[in-house]
Amino acid sequence: MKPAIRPLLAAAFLLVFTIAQSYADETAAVRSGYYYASPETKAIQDDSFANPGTLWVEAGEARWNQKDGSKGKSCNGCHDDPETLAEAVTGYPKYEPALDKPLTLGQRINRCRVSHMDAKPYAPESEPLLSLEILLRAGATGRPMQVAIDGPMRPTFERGRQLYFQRRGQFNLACHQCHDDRPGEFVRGERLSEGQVNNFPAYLLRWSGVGSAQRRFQLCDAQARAEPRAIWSDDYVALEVYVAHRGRGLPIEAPAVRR
Amino acid sequence: MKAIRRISVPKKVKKDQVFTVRTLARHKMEPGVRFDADRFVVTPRHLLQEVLCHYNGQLVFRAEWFSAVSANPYLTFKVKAVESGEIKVTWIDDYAVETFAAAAIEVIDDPKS
Amino acid sequence: MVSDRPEGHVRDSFEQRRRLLVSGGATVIALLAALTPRPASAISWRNKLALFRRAFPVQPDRTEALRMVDYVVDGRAPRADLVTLEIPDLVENGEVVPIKISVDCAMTADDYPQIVHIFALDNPYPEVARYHLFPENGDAEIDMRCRMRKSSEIVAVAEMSDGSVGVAERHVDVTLGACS
Repeated sequence: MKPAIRPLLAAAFLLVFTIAQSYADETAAVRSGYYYASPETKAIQDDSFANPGTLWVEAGEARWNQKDGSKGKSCNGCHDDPETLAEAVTGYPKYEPALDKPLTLGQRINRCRVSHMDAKPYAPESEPLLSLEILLRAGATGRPMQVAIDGPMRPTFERGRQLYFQRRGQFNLACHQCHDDRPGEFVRGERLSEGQVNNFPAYLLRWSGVGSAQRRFQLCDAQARAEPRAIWSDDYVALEVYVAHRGRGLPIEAPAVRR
Repeated sequence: MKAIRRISVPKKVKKDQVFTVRTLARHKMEPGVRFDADRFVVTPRHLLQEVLCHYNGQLVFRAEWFSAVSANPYLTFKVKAVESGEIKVTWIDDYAVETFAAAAIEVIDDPKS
Repeated sequence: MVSDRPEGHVRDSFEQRRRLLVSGGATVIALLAALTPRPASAISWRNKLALFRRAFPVQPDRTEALRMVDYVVDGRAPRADLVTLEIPDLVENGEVVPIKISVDCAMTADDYPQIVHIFALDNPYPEVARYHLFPENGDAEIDMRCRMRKSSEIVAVAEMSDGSVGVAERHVDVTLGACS
């Protein structure tokens, strides 16, 4: 080999390697939490009659058709079936230009209620809001998550990535240590998953009810003995944006049953 | 109408065939032992105490539940097909409030069997 | 002699002063301790009480649970292979433990399970459920979901219409307990 080519080859190799590394944190093995659940939990999710999450989907359907607000409108009036919004649902959390910030699906539902129905917004993590959220996600089940991170979403995405790699709490744990490096391994009797959000809002056995990804983040923080942050806080929304993008391509799963 | 009680039976069965009645109820089944640190109280007990199944008015199954039954309780049991009619499951809670779910079942007389 | 001295009698002023110092000093120290303002604690009393209450929930009593099972069995010799319990060996969350009970019998008037009792031995309240069956059921098979606070045994007792009894027991490992 000519002596001049060796440094060129080395440079080329280094360039390719660096580019590949920069993609490494975003193209980790992408599997839904279903893959890591126990057979019994999977059996509960698969059985559409015995899956308790479907009770929330049905409640959401009733609420979808219910008139509310001073304008006397229902979601049904403008949107017909929840399935018609399926494509839009796959993109949440999404950037809202009027507020110049990203909104989660729950926040967007509230925004609809306030601006189009002239109704009071639901409290975060309240039963009616979760029912509507899980109804919409059930309508979009099977479609791949595709959260946009370009343009005005870029700063939020970067903030989310920063939070994902930031150590927190008395245990001094960062998200990636469990969910990127050790999915499938056990932490005190609980099997770690990849921490995907394609299945949220989900029915969690520990809550005996449905909760959103925001509430799951609060639990994650509590498990690392960190101070949990507020639902829909900027940090958690940014984290949800990052985690949703990290799991891009995963099909939405609703109603899911998790530990 | 909010989904609270659910029942599933096969639509058609042969006479003397044993079929499965599947039920699911939406209920917190609060055991009365969990301590709520925010409200500084033990969350009060609220359970579904009894489940009754009537097949055309006749009692064919009775369950007594205690605090160790899971929330959103799932229950499955078997019934022998005798005649067409209604399977009605009633849930009775701590405060004697009754809720029910019913399903119609058709029993086919099979002349060959 | 010193030992003849009556109780409490002071021998000399040295003893008197010593006694005064000890009793007075103790009083002063006690007074200072009571009146000194306490430093602000990191955890409020309310939260301390809450933590205490959470750390000492209703305690399970295995002996009591076994006594309950014995009361139902009532000295009868359990029949072999009558009751079958199908439970997973390990459950992720004690909130939902799927149980399947089946009783192998003819389901006639003289051979059917009148009552099927379920117990969880290490639960704070061991009774799980009681099922009253009838010959009209055709098959004695029940599916349910129960709660378990810790790894323990589930015991099923079937009281048959002919007065006999069947018992089945299965150990279940629970990684996350319920009711916390």
